Amino acid sequence: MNVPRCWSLQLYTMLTVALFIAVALLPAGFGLGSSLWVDGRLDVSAYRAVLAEGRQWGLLRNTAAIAAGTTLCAAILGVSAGLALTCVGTWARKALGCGFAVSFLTPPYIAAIAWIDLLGNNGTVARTAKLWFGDGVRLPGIYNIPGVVFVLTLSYYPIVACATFLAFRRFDRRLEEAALLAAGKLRTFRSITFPLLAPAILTSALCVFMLTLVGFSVPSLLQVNAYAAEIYTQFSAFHDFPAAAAQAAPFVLCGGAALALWASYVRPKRAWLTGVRRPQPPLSPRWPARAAATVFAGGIVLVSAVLPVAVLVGRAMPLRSFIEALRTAKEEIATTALLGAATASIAACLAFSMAYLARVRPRIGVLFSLSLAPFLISGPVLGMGLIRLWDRPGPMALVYDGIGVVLLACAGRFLFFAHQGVVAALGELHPNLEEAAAVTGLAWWRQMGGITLPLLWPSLVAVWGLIFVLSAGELEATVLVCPPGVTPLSVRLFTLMHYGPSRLVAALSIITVVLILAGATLTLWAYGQARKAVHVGR
Amino acid sequence: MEVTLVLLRRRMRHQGKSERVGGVQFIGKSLLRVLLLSVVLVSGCAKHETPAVVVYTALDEMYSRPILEEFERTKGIKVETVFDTEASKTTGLVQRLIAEKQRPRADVFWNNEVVQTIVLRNERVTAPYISPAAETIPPQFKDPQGYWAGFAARGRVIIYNTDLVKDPPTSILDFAKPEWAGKAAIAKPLFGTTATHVAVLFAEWGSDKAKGYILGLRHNNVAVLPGNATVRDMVAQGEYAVGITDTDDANGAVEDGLPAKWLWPDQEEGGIGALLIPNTVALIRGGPNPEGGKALIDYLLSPEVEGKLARMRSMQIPLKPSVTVPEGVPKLSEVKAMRVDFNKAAEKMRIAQVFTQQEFVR
Repeated sequence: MNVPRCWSLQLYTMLTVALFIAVALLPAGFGLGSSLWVDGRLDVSAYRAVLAEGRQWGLLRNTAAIAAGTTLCAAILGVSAGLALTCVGTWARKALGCGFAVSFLTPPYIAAIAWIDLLGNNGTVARTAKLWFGDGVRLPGIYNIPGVVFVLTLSYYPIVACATFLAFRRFDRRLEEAALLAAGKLRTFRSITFPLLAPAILTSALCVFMLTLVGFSVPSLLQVNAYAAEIYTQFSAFHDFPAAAAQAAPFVLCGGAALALWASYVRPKRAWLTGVRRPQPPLSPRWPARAAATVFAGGIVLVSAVLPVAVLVGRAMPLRSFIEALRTAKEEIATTALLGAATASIAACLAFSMAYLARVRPRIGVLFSLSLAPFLISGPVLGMGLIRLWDRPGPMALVYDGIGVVLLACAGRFLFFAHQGVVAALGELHPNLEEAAAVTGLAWWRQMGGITLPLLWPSLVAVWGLIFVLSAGELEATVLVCPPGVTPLSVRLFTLMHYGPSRLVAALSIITVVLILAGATLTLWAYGQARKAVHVGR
Repeated sequence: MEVTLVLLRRRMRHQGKSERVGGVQFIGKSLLRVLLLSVVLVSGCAKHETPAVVVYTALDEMYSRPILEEFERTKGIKVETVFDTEASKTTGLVQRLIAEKQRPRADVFWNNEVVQTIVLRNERVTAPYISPAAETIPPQFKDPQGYWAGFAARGRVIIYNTDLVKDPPTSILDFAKPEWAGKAAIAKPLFGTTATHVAVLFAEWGSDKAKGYILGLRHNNVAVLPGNATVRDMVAQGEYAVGITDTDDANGAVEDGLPAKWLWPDQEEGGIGALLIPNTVALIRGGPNPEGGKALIDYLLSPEVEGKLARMRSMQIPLKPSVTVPEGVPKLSEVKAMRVDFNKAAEKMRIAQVFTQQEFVR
């Protein structure tokens, strides 16, 4: 779709690009650039020092093991769970979907707190084992790389499960039926079904890989040295910006390489999934298969969602702990809600503008693909970039001294996800209505406001909800930049943590999860309303 | 063609109206709701009219928050606090204060140890203020020029598991001996009081001897855990037999009835003594509310606050002779304390941190 040049579109483009640069590119540039630009000149000594240190290889090994292990385990578990979800009955699917949602919406560090209580050195399992088998019994423990992989897998598998389920419902079932005429079920699955699901699975696995690669909270809580935790240490112990930023290089290289592979091999095949637009009715397998699938998916939900929440509720009891937590954390709850809502609004608006401009001016889309940079350099480096950028006297101080800097941290980190969400929604919107309007001479901004925006509104609501839940649980960048008097729940929790859950920590964890779930539920309701209101064009 | 365009134009006008009813109006209402919600939330979070005192504190939130809330109640001055996380104890806030030196946001730094506060003085982050409440503090625990003042000390002690150990080590030097190989634990020496302890050893013993001792610990497979609370937990759980931690953490294990006890190290004749580390408080140079900051410093240095900190689970040792020490809390006069030049330790802090990072953080 192309729109004729006019001053208003130029102005809109300039404003959007300026905002994009301020939110995403400048903080990422200042963060990463501090490793190359030292004392006013180009200097690569930070990289030399990093490469020369023997312990870097240990960090690289740990980081790679965590990212690769989690991706693999989450992919296996997610695909199994997603396929199981296609076989269960309607009510079971809804209930299990809620369970998957709880797993995903519980921030990984909160899940880690629960798992430490359960599987830690003095956790429930260890105590029970000692009681039954005596003091000599030795359990593998959770303070190691497999422990991190375990916790992160249970947090991120719903991404793969959801992608698998949706892909399964969207592909043309007739292909499978045709194949079944000549081949068995296994061969049909291997040759037809799985290749058609593969792009969705690989895309979601890439998401898991990137989330795991840059996450520092779980390795930090489980005492495993990984790059993200090392960056935080370099910053907090030595305030060594160049060394800390140089250690983000593996993220950029690994993430960039993974994304390039995805763009080369997976993206072109994504079109396979759009062969059937409307979701197909779910499968109706015989009852033994349905029962087995229900038990399997139910077991996963029990372990990944119900158990951690139950552990935290049990640890937080009696009820007055919640009252005490609510009394002492009123401001933090309000801050988190405000932060999540404001970040989601900013990111959704900016992402819409970026996606719309990329639609009418395809060349500008290349610039906007850099929205991945702030996420990929990891939260601590983005936080350092924001400090270097905004901690200045004058008007910049207004941003740095208030909630503005935290907003920018969250919006910058998650803009990529908002942008990709809107781009995907816009990609499914056929341009014929806009073209028809353009033929009648309707101005671009009236086309955007009168046609594109209303049709895209439900997707924007969904994107808003996604960014809300991500921002409400954000810790990695926020912990570095939050100013006095502005403390989100995530930072309060991390401050209170002593590598083991106390009653207050458990109560605050549950409050955080409830707040995020409330946001997600509100979004779901708003999405339904938006779908009802905007019913044209689909 | 012309007819089609005219029809399309008419249809667009009609469609525009229906969309406005169905879509644009809904969007308008939704945006209005979000705006209203934001206004309500922002007004709820609006700043108080009286200028707040901003304090950065490295003392655990569970101990510092009630003290600061009491200050708010009694003095009517709002306090905005930034706490340190366990993952970057003390050091994180110190680095943040150094980074903000040109444009400070904090008025007061309440540290849970002393060496990093001196680092801040050397970096010209703090300003002198001789509080009238600091008069009775022993001279070794305050800066003569008023750049910092100490109160409510903690000690570095040896904690041991009573089920595993009958004859505990009595010196920190024992941790490098073969009989404790693989049985001992310390906290990560980059942060908090453990970083202070190592810097003090570098200052008192000299770099060579201190490095030798650190290497001895490493070769003896002494475990490096994330924090002093973890050392306490792991020893109490029997994961490790002995550890070096702070009195507040060690006392927590004893109060909880866990199989653990603690002792002051190096108390024998000729021993170096135990390291006592006071809380310190300092006024930040160029902070936004210096008067409020001074009021908070006066309050923190008062005998009441020392008394409260001594009565808490943290069991911090009062430095002022006038404070009545609760039962079970050690008296300053009962401990053979290490004679420390904290200024020298502050100079050695960076070297000590870099060395221990290379040796221990892998």
